[in-house]
Amino acid sequence: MNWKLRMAFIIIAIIIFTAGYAYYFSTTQRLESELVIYTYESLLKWGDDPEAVYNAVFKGFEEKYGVTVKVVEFPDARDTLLAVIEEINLYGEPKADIIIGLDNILVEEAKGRGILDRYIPPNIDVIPKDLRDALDPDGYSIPYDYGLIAFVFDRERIVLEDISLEDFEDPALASLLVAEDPSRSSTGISFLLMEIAFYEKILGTDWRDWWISVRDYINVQPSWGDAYNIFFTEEANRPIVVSYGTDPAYSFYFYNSTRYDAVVLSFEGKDYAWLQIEGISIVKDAPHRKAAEKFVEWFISEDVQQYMALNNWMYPANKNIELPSSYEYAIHPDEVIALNQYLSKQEIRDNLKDWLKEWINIMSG
Amino acid sequence: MSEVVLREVTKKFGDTIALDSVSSYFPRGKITVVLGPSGSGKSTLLRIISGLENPDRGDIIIDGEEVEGLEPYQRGVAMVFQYPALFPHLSVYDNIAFGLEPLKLDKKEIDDRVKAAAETLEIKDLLDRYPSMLSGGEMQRVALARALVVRPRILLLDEPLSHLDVNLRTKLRRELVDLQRRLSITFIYVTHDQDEALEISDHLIILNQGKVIEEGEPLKIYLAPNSIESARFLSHNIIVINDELISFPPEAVILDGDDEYGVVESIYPARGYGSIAIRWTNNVIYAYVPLEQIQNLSQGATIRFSINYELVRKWGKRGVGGGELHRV
Amino acid sequence: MASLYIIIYLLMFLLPSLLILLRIDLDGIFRLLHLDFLLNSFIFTVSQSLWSSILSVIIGGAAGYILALSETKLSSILRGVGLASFMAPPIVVAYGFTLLYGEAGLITQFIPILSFLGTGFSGIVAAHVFYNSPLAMNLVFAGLSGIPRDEFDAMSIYGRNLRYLTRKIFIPYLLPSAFASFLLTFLYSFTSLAIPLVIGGKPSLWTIEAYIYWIMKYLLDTKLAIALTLVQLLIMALFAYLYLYFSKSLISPEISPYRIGFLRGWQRYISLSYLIILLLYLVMPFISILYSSFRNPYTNTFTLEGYMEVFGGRFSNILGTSHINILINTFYYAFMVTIISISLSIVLSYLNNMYLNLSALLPLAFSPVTLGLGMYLFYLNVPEFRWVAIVAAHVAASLPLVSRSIDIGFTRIPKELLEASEVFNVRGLYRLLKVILPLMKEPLMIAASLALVVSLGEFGATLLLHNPQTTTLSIAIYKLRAARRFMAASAEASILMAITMIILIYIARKSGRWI
Repeated sequence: MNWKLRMAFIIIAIIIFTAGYAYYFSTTQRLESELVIYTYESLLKWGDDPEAVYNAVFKGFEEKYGVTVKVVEFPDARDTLLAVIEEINLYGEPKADIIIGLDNILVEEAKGRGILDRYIPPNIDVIPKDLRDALDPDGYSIPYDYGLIAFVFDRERIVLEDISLEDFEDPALASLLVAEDPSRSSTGISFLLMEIAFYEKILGTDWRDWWISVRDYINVQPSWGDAYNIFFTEEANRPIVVSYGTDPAYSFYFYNSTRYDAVVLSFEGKDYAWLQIEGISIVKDAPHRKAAEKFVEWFISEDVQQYMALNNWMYPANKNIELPSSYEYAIHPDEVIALNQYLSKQEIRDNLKDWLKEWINIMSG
Repeated sequence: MSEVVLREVTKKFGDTIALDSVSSYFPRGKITVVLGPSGSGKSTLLRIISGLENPDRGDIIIDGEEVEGLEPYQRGVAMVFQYPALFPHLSVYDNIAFGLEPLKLDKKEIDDRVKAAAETLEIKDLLDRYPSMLSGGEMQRVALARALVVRPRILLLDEPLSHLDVNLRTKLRRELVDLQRRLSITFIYVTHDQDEALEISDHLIILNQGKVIEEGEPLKIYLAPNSIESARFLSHNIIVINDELISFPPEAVILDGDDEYGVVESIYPARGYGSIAIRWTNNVIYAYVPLEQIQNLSQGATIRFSINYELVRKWGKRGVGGGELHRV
Repeated sequence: MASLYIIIYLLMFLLPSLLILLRIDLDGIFRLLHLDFLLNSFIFTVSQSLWSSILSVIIGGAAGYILALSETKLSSILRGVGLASFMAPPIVVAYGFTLLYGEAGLITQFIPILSFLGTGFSGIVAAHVFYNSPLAMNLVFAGLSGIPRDEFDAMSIYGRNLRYLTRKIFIPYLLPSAFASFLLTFLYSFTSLAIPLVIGGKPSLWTIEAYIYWIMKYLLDTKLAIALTLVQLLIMALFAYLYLYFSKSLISPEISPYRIGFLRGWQRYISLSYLIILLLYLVMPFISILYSSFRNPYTNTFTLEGYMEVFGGRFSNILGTSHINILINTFYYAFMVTIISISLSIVLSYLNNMYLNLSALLPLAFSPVTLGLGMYLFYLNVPEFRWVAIVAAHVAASLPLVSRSIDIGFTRIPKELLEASEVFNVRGLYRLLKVILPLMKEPLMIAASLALVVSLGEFGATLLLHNPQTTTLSIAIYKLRAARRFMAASAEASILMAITMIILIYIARKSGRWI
């Protein structure tokens, strides 16, 4: 064959190959479904049969409304937020319709970035008003569960009682703790704000001191899942994890004991903790707005809410759900003073970025 | 068939002068040999004629036309290299056809030319082989065929035989001469081997340190060089007699004569003619002796001889000038 | 030709990188200077790089020395495995180390004391030593083998005293190699990302590279990221320059080992045990990944679940795309990168212009995340260009290696052959196709293999640039591991490893020389 012809042939082959992929790429860019949900990977994964629950919630919705759903899971709720921010920043339009998992702190960041739309579902009355107000009074995020941030410990390895943050300034104790990175994890940021509120508002001292004293001993993981994995791995010798006040219920349900118990902050005879309220939000300019609205309604309905307690191990937001008996062992938010009240939403909005940078400054040392 | 004229061609590589204002003439349809020791600039001369290098100054004129800036193929030259430079990934056939493809000839024409060249060079049986399967002589024949098929006006040969063994070299260079006589292409042949130069050249150019020191008919140059450098390069006897520097070729020593006598110092037998070193007055001179006579000689024996003074060149006290015949 | 090269080079590297400089913001630099973590991460990055390079040179150098001086069959095995670990995808190395030496790792559950290899500062250094000691080993080995035979014989004639020869011959010959491998290891460790992210975990164990990624990704603060990138770029440029300067003396490691059999008796036993331990150290991470791809850590049974998940090709919630898409992406990018990188390098060798040749080495000073950042700013405003950005970053990352490899092949073509083609008017593109490329078959294949390996394993730039639809195997392993889908992660890692190995075996068989 003539060499020019051969050259031309190769070039054409490459062009076709490139065009083929470009086309393929453009098709995979669209998540072919009528509803796209971004959430964190551990959502509803902690029950007896996670697959059945997953099917009941997502496949159940597909069957009931005849809509196809694609769920994309991120390591943590903050990653869902970051993904949507990037999509909107770069392209002006999101791929996701719904974010599940923005809590009372992340929702402030999301609102600040203007990536959410308000939506009040018709069945909103199943959610107590104070819970809605605590998450977001404007309705950019609708609560689906809530719980307290607490120190969860393994009774077989250590027992904690009447403990407060200052106790961890003892390296021996700090060396047993695994926590989450506030820049990457919603649990982590809740814990950071709990610590800031407690030090700045209750103790009236500099919040940074605590982190400076623990930074060399504490184990910080990028997500709650990672932290819990370290906690469960006995060889790692981290029998205390920053987790939730509902974990003892989990322990009782699965092991019939409160081997995995929880404590909140105890100070001058009172208990303090941070209340985390997780919500479901519709993304601004969601490509499938109608289906998204239906899904929010579905998600706070009893059909889904019945699974929260035993699968997401948080208190269901829906007030009509009866709590399972294992929840006797959980720490109910009504039993403690919520530290949230000491940090106004405005304060969080204004300072969040600086707190994170301060935190990284401390931890880099 | 073309003639080449160089006019004051100068080429420098950095500080070293490869060619220093070279003017010479390469006659049409003849074999011109450029002879010179290594580093004399002879390869550079060839590469400048071919167009692989451009001169810093001077003109190259082929058939009356200045060819500066023309590419090798535009000058109608082809070249055979010291190493055969065959393409290892091409068969012998494709190697020979290598220069034809850019000429956009049709397949039949290419085939005819390749086959004809293969016939001429007696390599018809090798066409399907690859260079790695060929002997050194075969490779050089293929390289020659590759050069000839493009029907060059001038064929440049850069020491093409220097890597072959002696017998093959002798055989091939005679074939080369025959080939040239048949095709009447202008050959420009570069070598450092004076035997080769004398044997095949119609026209001889001797180059030393970038300068032409001889140019003309080979035998004339050999027998009567124009400078002491050429005499030295041509292995003439160079001796001082009566404060005078003289030179003469070994052929000038006639053993039948009886004008002079000396002592045989060493004997070097060889095919055809051997040579002997003779101590004569204060010098040692060399002479050729037919093989059948050489066995009658013995080391240390006294030998009578004459010198053909027609072949003696006289260079004066400082070894310059001269050219007159003198009786010593 | 030159203009074609320049256009592609501009698009694939220079314009995106210049865009970083254009977007410099005084505010970002000002804020950076007020952040303590800059200094802290700088100290950490430099100190771990120093430790990694010194230990790599010592550990690898000793192995190279032993290999060159003892007649052992281990030689080719160790050098093969060394090539594999040197070129292994960073995420695979990081993952292998956590599997082996991490919390409750395959080894640390039996020998807890070894957990220093998989956690903290020492873990990061250990992984970097895994990565780079083969480099020192090979350079030292090649350096010793490159000693002129005559010189060596002349010395040995007066007595083959090991200590004397070492002092008089070996050390002087080895110093440049050792220093070059020190610099290269420093460069690699300095910009390490996957290893500090996966093994280090916490911010005090992050390199500057990891901070740039983190600032860009989690603080969404582009200005600050750019400011930090500049700091890193300046340091990198210095070391890249030093490396290039010193590596000039390393061009000819044609390996023809002497096999002198110097080491005898107890020396030999100790040396061989050392080599075996090093071999185990280099092989174990790969074995652990293969092993854990078949083992369900929750039920402790052997299954094919991991591979079934990967090859089932279904939509993965964790990855946000299907496994089959990941395979398609990975191979497509690698293929495109190879074609572009090779074409650019061929054009470069062909033009043989000093400035253009230098241009191909310039990306050496750019860390993966920096390349990613440039592409991010340049390409990502158009959704259709996301994959182009990834391909471009991979091209830039592979260009220095590939162009060097092709250039060496090019300079080995006999000059006569090129002149012969010129005389016969075979020139330009036609000469390239008819003469040069066929003569360069082998260096081309090696360069192509290098490009493939770089693209298949690239982590930093891809991590910054990808979205679910453009995920590659490296990124999938990272994400699946983070989600504790260990079987799927190990299966993906095994696939990536297997492909990389096949390519590397090819390189190793074709040429004793690497990088």
